[in-house]
Amino acid sequence: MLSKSNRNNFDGPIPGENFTSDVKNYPWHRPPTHNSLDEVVGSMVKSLNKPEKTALVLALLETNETILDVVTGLIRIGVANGRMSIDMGILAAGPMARMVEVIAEKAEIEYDRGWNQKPRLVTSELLRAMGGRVDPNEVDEDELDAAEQDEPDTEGLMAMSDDPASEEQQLEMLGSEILEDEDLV
Amino acid sequence: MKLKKIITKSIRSYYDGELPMTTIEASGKPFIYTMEFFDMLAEQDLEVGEADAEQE
Repeated sequence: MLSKSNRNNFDGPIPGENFTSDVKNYPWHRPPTHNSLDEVVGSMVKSLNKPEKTALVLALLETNETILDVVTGLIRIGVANGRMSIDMGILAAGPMARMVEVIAEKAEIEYDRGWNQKPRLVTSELLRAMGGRVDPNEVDEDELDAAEQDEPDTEGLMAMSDDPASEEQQLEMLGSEILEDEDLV
Repeated sequence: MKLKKIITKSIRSYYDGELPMTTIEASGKPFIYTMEFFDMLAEQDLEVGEADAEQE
């Protein structure tokens, strides 16, 4: 490492130099291979139909991975390899999940979807609660998600305790040194 | 929003029978991979290539 006196201050990057570098080094920096939803789903479906891919999916499902995990992994790989854009991957998630489910059904293995598919039931209570202005299903899901996010962590190192800190701990946090009885004598 | 949460929403919508119509119309190609397509695939013991040919 150069000492402070030996460092040449004029040998650093020029402001804006980062904009001159090549940004097409990664597949996701270039246009994706498949542009339309039909192409993306078609290529994924055909790929999943190959024996090696089918075996991999079945192995994952047998090790208690959910269909949601498998699909998320497939989308990540597809985006990382430049086969699809992230938006197209998200739109293709439904057909991909159904394809994985069909593979699991055909192989007659037990699987976990990883999400709850509620039937679309519009109740009068729900409509009253929404005032009839919003799609009840959508709001229901969002409210559930928001409720999940609002729940504070109750476990872990940084979790908030229910009880306030003791007086000694508070003094310690404020930087005061607590003197033991022996020190006072 | 996290990726997994968005993917869950997308899957739920698809299972509810909703399709991204704007994207499909913009592509100018018919979208064959509907729930019915996969139901047919599950019921019949067809390979995917054969099912594609039948749809066309």
